[in-house]
Amino acid sequence: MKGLLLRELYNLKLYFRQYLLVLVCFCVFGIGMDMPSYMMWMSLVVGINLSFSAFTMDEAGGYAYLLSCPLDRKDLILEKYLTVILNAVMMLAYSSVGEFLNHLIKGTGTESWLATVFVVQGIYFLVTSVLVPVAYRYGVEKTRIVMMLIILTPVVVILVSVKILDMDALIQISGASRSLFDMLPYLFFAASLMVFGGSYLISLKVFEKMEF
Amino acid sequence: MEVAISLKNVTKKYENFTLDHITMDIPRGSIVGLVGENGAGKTTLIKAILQMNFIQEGEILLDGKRMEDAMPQWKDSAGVILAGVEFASRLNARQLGACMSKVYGHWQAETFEKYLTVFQIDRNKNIKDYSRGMKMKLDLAVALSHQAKTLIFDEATSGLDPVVRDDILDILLDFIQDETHTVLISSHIISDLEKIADYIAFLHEGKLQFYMNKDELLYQFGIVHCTADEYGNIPDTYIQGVRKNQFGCEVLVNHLQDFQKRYPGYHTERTSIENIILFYVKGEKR
Repeated sequence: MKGLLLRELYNLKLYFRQYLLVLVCFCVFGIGMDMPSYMMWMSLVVGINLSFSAFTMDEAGGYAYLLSCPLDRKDLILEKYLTVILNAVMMLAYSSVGEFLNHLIKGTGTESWLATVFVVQGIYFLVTSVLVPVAYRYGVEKTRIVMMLIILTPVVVILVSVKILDMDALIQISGASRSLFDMLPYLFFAASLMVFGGSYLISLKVFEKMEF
Repeated sequence: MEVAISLKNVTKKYENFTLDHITMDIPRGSIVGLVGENGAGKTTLIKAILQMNFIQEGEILLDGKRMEDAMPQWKDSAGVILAGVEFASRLNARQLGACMSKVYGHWQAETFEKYLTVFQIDRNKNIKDYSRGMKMKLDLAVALSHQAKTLIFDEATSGLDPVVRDDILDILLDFIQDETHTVLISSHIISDLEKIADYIAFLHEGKLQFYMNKDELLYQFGIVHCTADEYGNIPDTYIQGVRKNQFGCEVLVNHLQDFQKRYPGYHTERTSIENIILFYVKGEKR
């Protein structure tokens, strides 16, 4: 499995400059617009893209090559999930640096930063939890469609909610429920990790039955 | 005779194809050539051995152990080359070597470096930019750099020029000098197999038509040139296939020596493996 992780790192190294350039741009925009969370949301897009490209590589090369090596099917799945986690760590590192720079330049507070990090990471794990087993089962091309649906669905839901619901009433949260509201990002993150664990088991089940 | 790979009634059913009760033992220290037309089941059989597909019936033994127990460790001692697949096309040979050193337990970096030099492989060029022959040589370098005892090639030499193919055959012959080594190679290019194989296994429509020592095969089968009337006099037991044309008949006969003794008046000649297979596939049956 170490060999597979090394391969992911070599691939990452290939695109390192491009990704770095994109992330620096996001950082500049984020600080310029005084929106540090912008960097985090953009890192989410980059993180999902990175995880997705790992599958593209496997599918293009053929899983048959990997299975001709002394690698267990479990190892292949575990490596892919570790790659997803590795990308999450890089997202976190990037948003931390961005937030630090923003704080340094603009002197803004960092109170809501941690909560936003947990929300963004939670979304990342939820999205990859869906994408990984789908990619194994249906291949990369169909997963692209699923990815588009995943991105579009929350946007549609939010737009519809704003139209239908009385948002002002929702925003005015009472003091008692305030503490629960503050806990939501962390609970959401914990739930996403559980879903991620479930996703691993599903992927394992799917991949163990696959023939090449 | 020690057996490296043993197949017992191996059956794999697909919607439109069945690999049908394949039984064969691949002896250690030998090169076994797997031949057959497209869709005959060669790749399915090789993938069954590598546990890339799951057989519905039968049993596969690898070095005497049940496949389920032997995997995935057995692959550590196997070098596998499959056509059209690769580890990562955007890596270069040096990076591939670094990854493989973590994948294989007995990786020998010096051996890999030696083969890269021998094969004149550019270490810093992306694998995707290699020619097909270069990719094949790189795969071969990987296969030979982790103390593999068994090499499995699936159509790996197809599409390569004769010079590269000849180089590869030489390497295989060199590899097999160690009596503990074994090679299973499937190919369309029967002349290649005729050069190097000790045994020939012929698959046709998912069934194993024959699995024989190559010399025995060439000794046992022959072609009889005769008229239609003379053909009528040949007993069924000898006939494997016949081709009729305006000049008479060409008959593939089994037990050639015996036939020659019984029918000295018939014009017979030795034949090639390619011809034997063509008679099996395209020849008429009586």
